[in-house]
Amino acid sequence: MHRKILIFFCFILVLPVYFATSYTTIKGNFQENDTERWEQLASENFTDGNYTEAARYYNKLAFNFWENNQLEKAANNFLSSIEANEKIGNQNAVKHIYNNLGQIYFDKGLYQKSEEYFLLNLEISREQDRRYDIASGLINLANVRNERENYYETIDALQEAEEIAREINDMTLLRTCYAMLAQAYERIDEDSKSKEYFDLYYALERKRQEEQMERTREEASEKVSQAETQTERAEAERELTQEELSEREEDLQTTRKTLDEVEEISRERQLQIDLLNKEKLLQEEQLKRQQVVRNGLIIFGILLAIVATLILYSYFQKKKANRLLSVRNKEISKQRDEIAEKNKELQKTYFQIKKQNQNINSSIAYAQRIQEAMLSDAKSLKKHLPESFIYYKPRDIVSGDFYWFSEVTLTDSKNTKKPHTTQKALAIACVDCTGHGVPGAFMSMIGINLLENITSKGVESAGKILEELHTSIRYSLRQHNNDNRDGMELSICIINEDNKVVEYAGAKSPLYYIHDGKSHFIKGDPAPIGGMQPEPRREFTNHKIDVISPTTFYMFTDGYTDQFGGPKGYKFSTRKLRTILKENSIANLEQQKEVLNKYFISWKGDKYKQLDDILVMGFTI
Amino acid sequence: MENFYVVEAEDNPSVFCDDEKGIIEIEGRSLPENVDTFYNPVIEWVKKYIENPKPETTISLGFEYLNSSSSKKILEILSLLKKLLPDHKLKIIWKYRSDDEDMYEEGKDFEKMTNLDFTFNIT
Repeated sequence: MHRKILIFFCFILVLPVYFATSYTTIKGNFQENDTERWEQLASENFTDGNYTEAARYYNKLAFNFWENNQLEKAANNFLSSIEANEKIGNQNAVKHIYNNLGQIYFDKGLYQKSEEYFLLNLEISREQDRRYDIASGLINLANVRNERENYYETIDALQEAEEIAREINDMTLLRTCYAMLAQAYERIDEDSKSKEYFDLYYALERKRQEEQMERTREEASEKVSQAETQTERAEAERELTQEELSEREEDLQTTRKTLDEVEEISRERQLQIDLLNKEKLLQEEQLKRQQVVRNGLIIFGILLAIVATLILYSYFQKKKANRLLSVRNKEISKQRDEIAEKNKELQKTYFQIKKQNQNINSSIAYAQRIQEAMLSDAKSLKKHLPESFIYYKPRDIVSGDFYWFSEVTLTDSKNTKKPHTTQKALAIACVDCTGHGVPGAFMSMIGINLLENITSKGVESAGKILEELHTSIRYSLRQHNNDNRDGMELSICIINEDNKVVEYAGAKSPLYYIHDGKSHFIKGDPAPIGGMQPEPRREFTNHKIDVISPTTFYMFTDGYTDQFGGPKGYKFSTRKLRTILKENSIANLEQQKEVLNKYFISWKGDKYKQLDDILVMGFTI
Repeated sequence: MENFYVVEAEDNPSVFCDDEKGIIEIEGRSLPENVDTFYNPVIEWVKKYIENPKPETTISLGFEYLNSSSSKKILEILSLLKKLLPDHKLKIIWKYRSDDEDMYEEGKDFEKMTNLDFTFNIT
């Protein structure tokens, strides 16, 4: 029981020293890195003469090692720190470090070394005359001596410490001294002394406990009084709150009252408002109705205005149109009158023209009768030439083409023109006068007349007839001293059936004949009858054809061959006519005429009109 | 001297007389109702032209159809132009469609009649 108490006190003494010595408290993990760094810093600072810093780092290291129970390393570092502190004369620090070293060796169980360091510590404390430090140093020394079982020396140190503690009136130190003395005397079996010190210790302890109890009690009463004060304050506050509450209650009641009143008022107001609203609604309704009526009236007004405008506009338009119309009507009626006038005129002209046309037509028709009368009788040709045809197709009523034949007397002499024999022959001509229609017909009249005249005195040859005809025409039309160029193109044959000879001459007009299935073509001379005569004397070639066996002769004007038609609108051509005639030469001549007609009609078609008078003549000898 | 033109119609050919170039061209169908009205202005022009002609004159004739009265007028024109010889050059071109033998023969007749050299061109 006593021992436990003592151990407890030992620690009480040691720990304050320990804490007093440490400048810095290092907590947490002890890092190897840190120690290395600190060691380096400590030695560097020591070398540089920076002893305060060096001492600081040595102390740091020492405390760290001590904390980690590396006592030897801790002791070494403390020794290094002492060296540094002695350099700067910090005796206080050295004193504390001696204490620490004493403690370390005590912990290590190296009590002799521990006692040496505690003594060194005590020595400095004595030098400094720090009475508390001396007392606590003596207690530490007593503690280590106790462990070394040097009980008398222990008692010496403790008695000195007791004396100082009493002087400085330090109850704690004194109590520790009594406790330790009681223990030491017990060890040397001086029980009475031990008991004496124990009683002293006990008394002090009880006093301490009492004091502590008193302190606790005081603290408690203080707390109670504090609590009471707080309670009072709370009570007061509560009372205050109560008052406030009641006041508020009153206020509330007043407010409620007021609110009720207000509510009442507001209810009334609401009623009024409702009433007003209803009135307002009614008014709005009325307003709306009025608005509708008003809007309707406005729309109606606008519509009325539009309709009125439209009516007015259309009225004016109509009026304008009417005005325009009346103007137009006037113009139109004027124009109509004019047109009617013109129509009348036109009608008149038309009738005039119609009359003229009729007159002309009847004239021409009459002229046709004359021409027909003048023309040789086609039927009578059959008497002379039973195998013959005349395909005669004038373009207009009267024709510029004409056929002519006459019984002629042949003469030998060129000059006398006397019919020396009774040799009769048939002269037959196929003539195309310049122009067609009336001028052509006029020319044909001249032609017929001249041919009649020329042949009446007897004929020498076909060629001679043409030469004479040419001269006669030029003479008749006075072409030598005017610019009349009219004349004719013709083929003429003189058929001497007794001699079986056919004479032919052509003025720009050919002869075609087929004999024994062979065709022959005589183009005739290029010169026409009448017109210009650049050469001094116009002569025509006289062709003689001996007819041994039946031969069919054809003469034709260019009307048939020059007719446009066919698929390409080409001229029929002389060649084609010759081909047709040859192909149909076996047929009798009436049939051949039919064939020619058919070919012509189909070639011309409806697309083309007949361009010229047509005359094709054929006869077989 | 002004040039002279007539546009081709159904029954008359186109006529183009150019004094500057010394060219006379007549082409188309020639069967006017009145040959005098149609051809006399041409003849008048030619008469004037030959009074003061170009060193070389060309007359080009290309007929598709030529009635007998027209052919007499053409003959007259050619006879007038013949007067240019021998002091001036005269070229006569006779154009005809290759299968129009009759028109070729017509040209040949003119050649013989006028005793002029024709150039025959197939169109």
